[in-house]
Parts: sequence; C-alpha cells; structure tokens
Amino acid sequence: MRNVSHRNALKRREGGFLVTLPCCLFWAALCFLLPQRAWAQDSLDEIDGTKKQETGKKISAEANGYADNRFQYAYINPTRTLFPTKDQPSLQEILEGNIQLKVSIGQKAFVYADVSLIYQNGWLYYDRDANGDRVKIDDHDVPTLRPFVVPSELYVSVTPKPWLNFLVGKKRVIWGPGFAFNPTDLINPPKDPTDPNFQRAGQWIARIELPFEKFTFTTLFAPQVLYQQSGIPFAMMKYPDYSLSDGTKPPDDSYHYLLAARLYLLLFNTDINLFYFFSNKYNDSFENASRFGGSFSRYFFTDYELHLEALFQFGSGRMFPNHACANGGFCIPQKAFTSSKISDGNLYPRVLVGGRTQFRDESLLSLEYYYQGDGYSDVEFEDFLKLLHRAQAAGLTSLLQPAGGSSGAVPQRFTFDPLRRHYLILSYSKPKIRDDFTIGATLIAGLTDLSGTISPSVSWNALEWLTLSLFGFVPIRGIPVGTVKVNDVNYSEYSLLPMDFRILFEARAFY
Amino acid sequence: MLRRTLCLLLLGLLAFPSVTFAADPTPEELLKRYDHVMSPRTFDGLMIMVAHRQDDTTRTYKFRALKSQDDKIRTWFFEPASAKGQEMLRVGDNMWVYMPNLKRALRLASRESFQGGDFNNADVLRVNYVADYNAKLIPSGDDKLWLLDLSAKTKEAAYDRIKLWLYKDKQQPAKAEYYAASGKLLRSAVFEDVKNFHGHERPAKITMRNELASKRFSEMTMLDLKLDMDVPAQKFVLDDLGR
Repeated sequence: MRNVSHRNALKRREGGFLVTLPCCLFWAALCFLLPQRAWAQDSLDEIDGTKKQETGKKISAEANGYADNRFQYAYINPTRTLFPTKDQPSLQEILEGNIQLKVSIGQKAFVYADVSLIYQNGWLYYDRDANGDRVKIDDHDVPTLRPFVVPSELYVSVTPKPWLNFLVGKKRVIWGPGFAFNPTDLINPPKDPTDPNFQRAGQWIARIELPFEKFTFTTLFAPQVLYQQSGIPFAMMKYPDYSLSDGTKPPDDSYHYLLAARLYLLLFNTDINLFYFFSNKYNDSFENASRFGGSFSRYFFTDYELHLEALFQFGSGRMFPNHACANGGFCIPQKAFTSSKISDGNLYPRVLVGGRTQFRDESLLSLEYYYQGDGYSDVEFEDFLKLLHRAQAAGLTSLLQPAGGSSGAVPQRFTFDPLRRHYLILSYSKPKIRDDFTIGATLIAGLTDLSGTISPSVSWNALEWLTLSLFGFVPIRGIPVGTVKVNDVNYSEYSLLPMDFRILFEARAFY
Repeated sequence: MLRRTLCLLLLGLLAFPSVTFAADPTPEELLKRYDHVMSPRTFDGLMIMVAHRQDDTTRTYKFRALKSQDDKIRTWFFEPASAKGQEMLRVGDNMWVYMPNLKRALRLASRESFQGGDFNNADVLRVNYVADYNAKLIPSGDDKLWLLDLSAKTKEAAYDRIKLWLYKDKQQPAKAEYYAASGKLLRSAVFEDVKNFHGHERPAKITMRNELASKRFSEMTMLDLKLDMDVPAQKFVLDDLGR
C-alpha cells in the first residue's frame, strides 16, 4: 500500500511553463465548442439533420467536461510510519480543467480526447526530528506537485464494418467486472477503490476488436511509456540509447510491452471473459511471461449481482524483502528488495469475488473479497518492515518503496496496492438522504492483521451541473492481532499510512 | 310498416357491427396492443424525463432510445451535463449502464431506479408486457375504460402486479398502478397527450408518481419517435457502449 505522491517523479517531468500553451488551447477550444452542444435539438430529424449537414463536411464535434477543485487537509504523522513524509503536504490544492472532445469523421471513424489540465500545490510539511518527534519543515519544491497535463484518453477509432473496430491511441480498457479493484487489469493506472469513478486515465494501445451479437474477440498491443513530458510520451517500449539531459541513464535495452487477447461471451445471461496476457517488462519484472485470467458477472435472484475475476500467473513480479538483509546481515540497498519469486515456477492466483445489490430505498451495497496469492506472508511482512526501519535509519527509505504505479494519470486520493493476501472491500451509498444528498462509506480491510481504511463521504448535487462532496479518510491501525513488532512498535499494513486522517472537499462543475 | 322497420333496423345493425356486436378484446390482445403502442418492435425515440423531487426542484434528462427486436434497446444521454455520455443497454434479461467516468459498463438490475427518477429501468428499457405478465380483464367501473389486472410471470418483470386502464375508443393506455408483492402501491402513472409520431399514435407524456414519497414524480415526454429502423445488431453489443 502506498500513497500516490510517492510516485516516481522522473516519469512525470512536467514543467509549469509547458502548461501555459495547452491551457490557452484548452480554454479556446472550450469557448469554440460550447455553442455546438448536441442537446439543443428537440427532434430526431434535427439531430440527424445536423449530422447530415456536418457529414457533408465529413466532420462534426461534441464537447463536454468539468472543472474540479479539490482541497484537502491531512494530519501528517511521521512518527506513525516508516515511510518518508517530507514531501507529503498537509494542505493540498488540486485544480483540474477537463475537456472531453469527440470529433466524428464521417459515420465510421472518430477521434476522442479526454484531457485534464491540473494545477496543484501543497503546503505545511512535517518530518521527524533527530529525536523521532514530529516537526514542521519548510515548504519546498515537490516535483510530483507541479502542474501537469493528463491526456486520460486520446485515440482514433475506426469501424469499417459493424463487426470490426480498430483503435489506436491512449484508452482506458477495463474488461473485468470488479467494482473497486480489477486483478486482471494489467494495463491501466490503478483506480481508487474509495472512488472508482475517479481514475480516468488509460494506456497507449493499438487494439483490434471483433464484436458480434453473442461474443467479442479483442486483441491489443500496449507498448510501455518509458518517458513522457506533459503527458505526451517521448520514449515508448525501448529506452533511448543515450542518457537524458538530467543524467538519467537508460536502465536497460529491453523491449517493454504487453500483448493481450480476450474473448467475451454472453452466455446464459452471464458476462464471461477469458484473458491471455503476454508481457515483457511491462509495469513489472516479468520477461516473456504468459498470464491467464477469466471473469464472470451475472444477476441472481433478480437483484443480486455476483462477479468473479481471476488472474493466474507462474512466479511473482512483486518485490520481496531479502531475509538476510532484513535481519542484520550485510546488505547493499539494491539487493534488499528484489523480484526474488519471478521465476520460482509457483502458481500465484489473484482472485476477486464480490456482489452488489440495490435496496428498495435505492441504497447500494457492494462487497468484495480479494485474495492475492503472492502477498507477503507474516515473515515477509516482518522483513519488509525491518528493511524499512533499517533504510529509514540510514536515510535510504525511498530506495525501498515498491516501484510501479503509472504516470500520465490523475493524482489519486488513494491507491490500492495491497501487500498481504486477504482483503475485504465494502462500500455502501445511500442517495436522496435529502433529495440531492448522498452519503456513502468505503471500508478496505486487510484481513490478515485487521487493519484498514474507512472513507466516509457526503455528496450534494447542489445544481444539475454542480456537485459538492466532502470525503473523510481514516486509517484503522488495527487491533493487536496479526501485527508485527519492529523495534518495540506494533505495525499493521495500514498503520504504515503517513497520516492520522484526511479530509477532502471537492467541487465539480460539469458543462 | 313493421316489416320495413325491421329491415331498416337490420340494415342499421349490419352497418355498425362493431358498435353492436363486437366482443371485448381478450386480455392478451389488449396487452399486445399496449406493447405495440408504448414500445413498438423497432423504434428510434427522443425523450425527456423531468424528475420532480421532494424539495420542489427538478432534474431534467434528455436521451435517445433505439430499440431493435423485442428485447434489445440502447439509450444515449445528452442532458444534464453530468450524465452526458452515459449509455444504457438491454439485451434480453441483461442490462448494463456505461459510465463515462468509469470508462466501463456495469450490470444493472431491472428494478433499479432509472437515473434516480420515479421510473425504474424496466419501465423504460423493458416494455414487453406480453412476455412479462399474465393478464385478466376485470370490471373497470367506467364504461370508457378497460381494466387489466396483470401479474408477473417472470422474476425479471418490473413489478409484481399492475393495474392497467386503457381507453376503449382508441385503445390507448389511460393510467396504471404498480404494486409490490405485498400488495403495497409503489407507483402510479397517467398517460396523456396522445400524438401521432410519423403515423404511430401513442401518449406523448407519462407522469409517474412515487406513492412512497408523496411529492416526488417524474414526467417522461416523447419528443420524437420513428419506427421501422434498420439498425446493425452490433449496436446492441456490450463492447459497443461508449463508441
């Protein structure tokens, strides 16, 4: 489990001055496109007539989007975590302008862009002093908090025949039915289980899809983005032979890519997916590795949705702590944390099973259990904590943070990157508490040590185009069951979070 | 004189057989008529739903619905801005909603509320009463109306029981009451403003009242409707949502 702002700053590399031009273009495009909204028409002829006129020009465009402001306060507590907190702001402001533009080219092709411009800043930082106490430190530059551009989606789709679709560009493709989490999603930036609507960013892919009435066959190729600037990649699949101007050397000369094939079937009122993935150093250490998966989703007894999503892999791409290093042996930092089970030949399934139902009062309950076969055992978790502690003492903590996550994505409130094996995700929302008010809560519980997080929320649709929301985020440190003691401190997985609580206020205006 | 009168009377009766001798249609015929009026086998419609809420404010949804065969329907939402890009799909007993924010589709239950208004998903996406209900014709207490008592014959039907009134003259629906299995009245509807849409007559406006929340009701207005569209089957495929 890892907070988002721990992301690798190198991959983002945005600069404030670069935002100016896209920003101007964004607002100019917005002003130009707003009068052309499609919903002004009151008859099918008007809609189709408009289309026909524009078909004469071969091009028509529609735009919508939102402006979003998020302001949050987190009580950063460096004394409760083994992770560094010096770049974690207590106060954070994130301002996002989003445009979703669809340009139809004739009847069979379109270009789609879902782009966000993000300004963000943070203040009020805390760290440990020499005595291990919480101390305020000066505001400072944090690369991950600079303004940047997120092209969440940017692709061309061509459908020459009703049964054939080509797509090239950046797109979020999710095949599994998991609500809060998708173990078979090896492609996209992870979503935020406390708000599954939040993460919109996809990955760069080339896809061929053959949709038929009862089944669909899809195959895609995804080259990994290795370097990008302002959300636009400038190195994909293979690192350039030369170093970057900031001195970053190419870490390898491998090809980083993923191939996927998927068969979807609608059988007996059930959505069934079968997946095959072949990847080489795509977001993890697997080389020329095959993975398999499957899923189903169906309603039972009219109102109860049940789904299962599973991924099967031989070996694990996770980073595991070196036992000798953790227990005081001689250790070089690069060997402390490695993909030591990458080729052990063991089968490590990742399985999510869950259900969802809506009650008569329109409240919605979702319950999911997630099993991660390659999660840390008790000993491995203890070694992980010991290594963190050693690294913290040596000032090397950043080296021990698991690599991964994706750049070019919206900064999230929370990323689910589980360390252990058993998890429960429970979410409940009840709309119309008072017409426009919705309350909700999401509980993520690690079942091994009974720690977790709870995220209550209240949303108010103040106007048809304006939603105001208040989110809480409270780590549950766990009861003393399954905790691990390191240097006389009991730790559970979610006690590693660097904050005692967080409150976030969000205002989102749609257009 | 008497013979002449009898002849005239006989001629008169022969001239207006439907008035004098026509039997009431069977419940099944009326149900079939209702399905044809409200949800023809294939259509392309543009609709507005205005949801009136407890606090007297409203929310307006504009969407397009495309139906093919008896059990395939797809909708695209244009309004409000927060719902733009959403799509719904029904294929047989399966329903999905495509959420642009999620960039994916989720399964839906037929009894869930349609966009938070007072219609449920099946009211809009699953109007196939012949398939879903058994019908009985019962006395309506009004000479101008037929009353059908419908009971669900599948678990996927939107309601356990419906009372449906139809006008005898134009065979158009007049009003309806929708009940839970317990017999509790959940919703009631009034069908108004019969219009001719390109040769097809149907009520342009349905007002659905939530009987569990006295001030809440929703109005569904058909702005335009065309029949007999030729639509490729791939428009009703899960993977086409969002395209």
